[in-house]
Amino acid sequence: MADHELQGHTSDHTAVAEGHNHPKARLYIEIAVILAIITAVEVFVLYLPNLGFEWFRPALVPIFAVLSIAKFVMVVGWYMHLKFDDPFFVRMFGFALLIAFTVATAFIALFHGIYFG
Amino acid sequence: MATAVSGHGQVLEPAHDEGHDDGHGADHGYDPHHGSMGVDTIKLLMWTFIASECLLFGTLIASFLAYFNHGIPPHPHEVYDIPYTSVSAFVLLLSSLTMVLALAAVQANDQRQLRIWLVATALLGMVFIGGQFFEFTTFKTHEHVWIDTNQFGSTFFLLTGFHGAHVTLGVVWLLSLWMYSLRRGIPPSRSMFVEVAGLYWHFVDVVWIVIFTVVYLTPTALQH
Repeated sequence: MADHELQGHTSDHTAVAEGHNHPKARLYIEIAVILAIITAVEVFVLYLPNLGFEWFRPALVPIFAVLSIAKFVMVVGWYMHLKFDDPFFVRMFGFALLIAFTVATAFIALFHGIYFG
Repeated sequence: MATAVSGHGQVLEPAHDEGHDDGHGADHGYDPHHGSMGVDTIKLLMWTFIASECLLFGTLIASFLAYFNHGIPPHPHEVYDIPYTSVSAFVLLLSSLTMVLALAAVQANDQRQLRIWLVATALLGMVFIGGQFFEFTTFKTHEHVWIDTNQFGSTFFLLTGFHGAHVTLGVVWLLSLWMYSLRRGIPPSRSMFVEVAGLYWHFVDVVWIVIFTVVYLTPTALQH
């Protein structure tokens, strides 16, 4: 029996036992390319007001928020395998994010006006 | 238990003999411990740790947002070099790719690929740390902003310093995994150890995604 076949049984058993359906390496590379493109877009958009599109400045922060959330979801969902993992981990991480976001928002609200002014 | 490595760089383990019961009810590879939650306990521990780290970085980022625009100059838009920092962001994103490829390699029992991607991830982490070190020294020597200069300096260096410390620990962890794989190999049944290291590393990358947007891009966009 070939070595990889000897090992294949154990690895298949492990994969089935874990209940995972792991994406292929190609998908990881595609995601990395998308993440790089999004980062490049973020930097490009930042300099648009300096290139004569001053009217674009109020839209910068919402655009950054959307793009960074997209990157966040892709890394957490695919690279951290949360998309394929037990929903319990999703709830745990989501709850922690919610608490962190709430604390951060409350802290900034205590200094209302400072961030924007 | 000693592990043998084939000439093809694969770790050999005895196939699980379902007909044999050694009386202890366990096979000889890693036995995923599913506790009362029904999930692997090691992974649960790591996600719990990551949840606590969310709170840590959340408060540090909140402190930065509350204070960066206060106090004496210099302020963020006066010192940041966004193109330089974006290269750091690319480096860390690339390291996330190499880390997940390392996990794919260990699950496929390809020890050579595993070692390559683990070392690549560690090296990219070191490049990131080097970039951070250069940025910090530039801020201190050329821009004259340090941790005790003003509120921006305090909150910025505290936040990015903590993140850099996490990256450094991650590099040490990855190199330890790499050395372990050199000595004994990491079979697919023990891929959890690589996966857990990957969770930590990806979280560090995710934190940088947030920091890059909230700490670098947003203040630069708002302060003109």
